[in-house]
Amino acid sequence: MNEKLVSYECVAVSSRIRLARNFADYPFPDRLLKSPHAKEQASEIVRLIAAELNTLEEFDLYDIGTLTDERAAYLVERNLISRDLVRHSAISAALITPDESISVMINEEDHIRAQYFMKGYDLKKAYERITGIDDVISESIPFAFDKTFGYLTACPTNLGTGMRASVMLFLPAVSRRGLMKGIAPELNRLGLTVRGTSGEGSGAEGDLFQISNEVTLGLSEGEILSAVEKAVRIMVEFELKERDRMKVEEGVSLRDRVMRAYGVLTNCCMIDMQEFMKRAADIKLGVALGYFESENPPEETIATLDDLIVAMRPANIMRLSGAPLSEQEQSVYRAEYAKKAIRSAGLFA
Amino acid sequence: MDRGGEMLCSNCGKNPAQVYAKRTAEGEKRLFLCPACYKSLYGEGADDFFTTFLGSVEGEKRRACPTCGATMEEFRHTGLLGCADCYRVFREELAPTVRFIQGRLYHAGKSPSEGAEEKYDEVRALAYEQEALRERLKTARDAGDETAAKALKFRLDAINRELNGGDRS
Repeated sequence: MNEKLVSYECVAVSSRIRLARNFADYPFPDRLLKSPHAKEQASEIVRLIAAELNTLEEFDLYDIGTLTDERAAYLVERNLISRDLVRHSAISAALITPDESISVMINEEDHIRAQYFMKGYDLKKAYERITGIDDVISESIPFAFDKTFGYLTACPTNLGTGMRASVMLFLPAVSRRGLMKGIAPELNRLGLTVRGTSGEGSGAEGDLFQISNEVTLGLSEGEILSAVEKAVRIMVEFELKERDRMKVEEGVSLRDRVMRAYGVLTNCCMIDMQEFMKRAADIKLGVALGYFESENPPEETIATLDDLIVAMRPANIMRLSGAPLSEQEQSVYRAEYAKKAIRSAGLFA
Repeated sequence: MDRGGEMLCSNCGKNPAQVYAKRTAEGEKRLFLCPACYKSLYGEGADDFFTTFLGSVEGEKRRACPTCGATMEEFRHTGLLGCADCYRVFREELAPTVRFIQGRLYHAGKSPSEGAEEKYDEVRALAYEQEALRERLKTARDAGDETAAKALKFRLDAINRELNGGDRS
């Protein structure tokens, strides 16, 4: 991997492509829910998609209606299913590969929402994987398609390619220096949006932002990918420059904040999710700025910390611990687990 | 607020509402506001890319899609069409909305494979068989019946090859 890409992946931490598709001969899911034969029709849709996907590779089938709330929350926290899919639990299902790279949601807003997720930055690879799956399904299942509107989706915001290409960006310098505001209108001009990735509300938890295409019609998949890539390039260069400035301008106080975060996460006895996110983001920034000694390249350490952040969310903690925990018990478990994980990541102050 | 089929602005309660879709972290929200209140709350509509104009509530005919029964009025409320045929039935009414949302009114991306219709019925039958075999295979494996499992796996592989068109296995 060349040096440029390495530094890119300290900012562009993951890539995701999602395709929306519908059967030509079934009502869209929201309408399907009102049908007296909703259950039978939904099972038929699930069976047909599963049949095709099972010939490709191993998928685990989740019938959302039979999942416990805890299991559903766990999958939502891992971004493998959406809250909307859970709301449609009477008719919805998900097919997920054991490595969690491919998730196909069935009967969410559309019959099929297929996504490929990967760590690091490679939208073209992500697109190739998911379009390959789309090709296989479309060989034997007639999709709802129109020459003018392209792939037909329940909401017109997804018409055409039905594709959403998104890249997760870690932007501590740009966001903490109050520079996000000016960026949104610029991206809008390119047909793109940027959103904070917090679970609730609109704040950006852990300085993570998702950049994705807003327009899905009138552009080819390649053009959409290029537009997102162009924006990512601009954002990465902007962030790297701001990190350099931040390092110079804030000097020892920045280093102090990072080291305090390291001190807290390697020594505390209990920690809630909000503080954990904040401290973990500080450590990630420190890793990117070269404040730590580590055997691993910085982008790898950042990816490890990102995994840890997902694993420390409430439903994930309960699954790790194998028991239902109170909020306080979760905080204790989180502190204990994170301490070991950070030490074994080979980070030294 | 709904008075005799006319939706009024949820902010001022006086003027007829138009429908806007606003993206938030929790998903898409529908807002029923008159253009004046929309402007005072969010600025110029076209400049706010988080918000999408879904069209006017006024003067909608209650024409229903013959396939699924959805109406344009329902679309104004939910932002969702009922089925693929809705796009054909309401093409004229939808065109300005789609142009507003997407900025373009032509498809430039990939198209589905041709000939899927011919394979569809066959795949439907194979899918049933695959599902039944997978369940029986699981039962056989759980019961430790290796001979039965092997035979079932053999048949399952054959079905998978057929589903794959026989040329990619």
